[in-house]
Amino acid sequence: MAMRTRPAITLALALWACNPDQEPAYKGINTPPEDKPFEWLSQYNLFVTPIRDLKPLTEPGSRVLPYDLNTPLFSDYAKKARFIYVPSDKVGTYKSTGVFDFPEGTILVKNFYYDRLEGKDLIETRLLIRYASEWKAYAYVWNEDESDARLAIGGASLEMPSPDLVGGPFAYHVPNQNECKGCHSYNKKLMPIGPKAGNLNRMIVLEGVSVDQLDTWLKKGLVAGINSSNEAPVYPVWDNPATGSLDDRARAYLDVNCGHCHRTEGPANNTGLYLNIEEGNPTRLGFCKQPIAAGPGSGGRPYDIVPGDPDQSILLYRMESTEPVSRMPELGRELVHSEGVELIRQWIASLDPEDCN
Amino acid sequence: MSNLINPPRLAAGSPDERNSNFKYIVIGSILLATILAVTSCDDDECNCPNPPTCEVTPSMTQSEIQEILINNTCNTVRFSAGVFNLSSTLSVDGRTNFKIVGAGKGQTVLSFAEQSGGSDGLFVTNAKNFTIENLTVLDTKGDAVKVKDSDGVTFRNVETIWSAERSPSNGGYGIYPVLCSNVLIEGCYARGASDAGIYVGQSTNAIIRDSKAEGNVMGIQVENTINADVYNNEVRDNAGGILAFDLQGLTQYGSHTRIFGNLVIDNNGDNFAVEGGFAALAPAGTGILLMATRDAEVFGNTIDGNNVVGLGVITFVTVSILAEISITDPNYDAFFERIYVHDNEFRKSENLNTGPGQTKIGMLLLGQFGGYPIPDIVVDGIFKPDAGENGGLCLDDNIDAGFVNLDISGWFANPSFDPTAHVCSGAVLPPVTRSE
Repeated sequence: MAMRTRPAITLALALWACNPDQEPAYKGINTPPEDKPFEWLSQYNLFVTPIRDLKPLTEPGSRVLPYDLNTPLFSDYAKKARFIYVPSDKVGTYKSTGVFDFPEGTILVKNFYYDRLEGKDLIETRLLIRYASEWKAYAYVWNEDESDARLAIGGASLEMPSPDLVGGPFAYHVPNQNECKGCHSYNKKLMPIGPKAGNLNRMIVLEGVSVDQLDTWLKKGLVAGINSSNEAPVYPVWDNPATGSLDDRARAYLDVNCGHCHRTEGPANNTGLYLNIEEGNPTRLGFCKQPIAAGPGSGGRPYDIVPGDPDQSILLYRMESTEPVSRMPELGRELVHSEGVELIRQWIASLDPEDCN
Repeated sequence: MSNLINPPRLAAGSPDERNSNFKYIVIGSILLATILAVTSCDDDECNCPNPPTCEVTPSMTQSEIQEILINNTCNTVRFSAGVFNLSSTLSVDGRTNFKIVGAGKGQTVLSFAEQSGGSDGLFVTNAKNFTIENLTVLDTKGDAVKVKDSDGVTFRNVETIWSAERSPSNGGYGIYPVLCSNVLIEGCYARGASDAGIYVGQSTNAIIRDSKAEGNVMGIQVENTINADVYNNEVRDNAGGILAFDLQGLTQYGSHTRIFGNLVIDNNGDNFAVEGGFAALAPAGTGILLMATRDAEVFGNTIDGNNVVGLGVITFVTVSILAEISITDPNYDAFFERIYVHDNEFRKSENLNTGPGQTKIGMLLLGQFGGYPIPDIVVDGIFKPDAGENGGLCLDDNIDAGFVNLDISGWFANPSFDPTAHVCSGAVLPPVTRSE
């Protein structure tokens, strides 16, 4: 493979086996038929070779854009490089609450990595692909030399150095295909969690320039329905007090980290505890509410939230636990999110004990 | 086509040049995206007359077994005899006419003693006509077999066991369908659950029969369920035997429960539930307890040696008073109504739990009777205002049954031992039918 000439597009597939010197060639996004996910991440052509650089195709019409969220889901301190691809002939529908309606062919890409001394350490990449009737989720685990990532339908458990390199190793959990739906579920259908108006409404650096993210999506035609991001809600950034009150930031944090399951349309609707941002009923939010099915997960505490008393609140107990029986979220969290715990601790402490019904 | 190890499924390029070693130690392993099917069918050319059965064995890894449970060409997944040491929840989602089959209780053992991922043993969601049978699920960190949002659910000859005797760190529920419809639980066995061994919650049309629960906090519990038949079960040595509850703030309210022909024996075991949940409130020594439920018929049971509350019929108002829990759901009916208890046979024994495994409410009740036996049938004395002169409860032809109205709202000031107001015939309820 000493060829250095720029390959014609028609040769691209033949030259696909990796050659680091090779210049990227535009190949277009490949989307596999439903229920036939590709074996390798590279087969989607989302990124130029070498794909470990996570450099999206930038040719006109490719429409692969990086995106960020105001308040993301905590995943064992992994960083997430997110991208969205919307086919160039389609457009999504803006919604002020809930996840946008994305068109068939949309791919949401979430690359999980840790920053190590030697650089970015890619772990897994999760894809959510929008087919005609529903979304499908697939996880790909990066190989040794990060040349590619391979499909892991059955999930995996990886022994991983601690994110801060101080603690001991931990078992990083790559979800199996069903577990993806354990979080990504809305009325029993697989759904994205993050890309909601309020969570996307922020600035982002694209090609070195800070731009309004939602306006960019509108301008590029990824979604339509409003004229400007000024019309959209804004979620606070959970750890930035300048972006919202303690109550606002705590509710945003709970919405993203818990509300995907704990809402009437979510997988934890059997518990009677609803933590989505729209919930306004104090009992349903857990104020002085007895647990229903927590079993030993209650930690012996009386209520989900005891206003004014974090250390009597089951919610905080479960956030601080790493035991499988009691930790929350149940999946994708082996480590305690200390900063998130602190936010919720302050929030519960700030609540008026009189709010206990 | 029996060897699908290297399926020709790559669209382009060869993976050969790619390093497929994973950078971190894989605990268990990642299966190449292939399936070992006993009757293997490539789904492009499948013309199988019978739904294929896929076999899993203890030598397979967690991920390999999980992939087979996901593979939609396997309609039956057969777990061979042996002990499967599993590290994380096995999950099934969105399957129709799907079966998980073992070689028998105690023969096929899914052990979660070393579980680090998820809290359930098996977790089944959004299934239509799902059966699990002939296996044991052992020592899960949380619930043993949880089935949610599914229609047509059968548990047959399934055993859920925690080896640690009465430990608060045992998982909450053994057999646990929730938000399901058309549920059948038969020939099952549950031991050691720190909440309920067999539990049906927020479901419609459920039959629990010919099963046994012992050494749990609650033996069998039916909660916020519409149409449940609980019969021919043996419920022994739990803190509470059989409970039918309606709680507030859930997705649906329950009604229509029949509890009949059960052996409810010596449920005086410690209440080892962790504080916080409702299970932790019930006295150690409860036989059958109906709480805030309506349209229930309890008959032909042998209720023997359950020495605090043989058969209790109470409102949630009592729980609210004794456990200081507010009623916050405006649509919730905290009373009981149209309860018919007849032809049950009662006995007491000397076995009284007054140790640390007794609950505060249990000690309170025992204290009220100063060491004398508490009558078999216990009502709290709080009746729905429009329930009529029998207060929503009919008692008839119960053998050797004493009676007490505790007068909870008067804090035990005027208890009554006269059942006359409740001697009547109530409605005989029709059997539950499961629609297929």
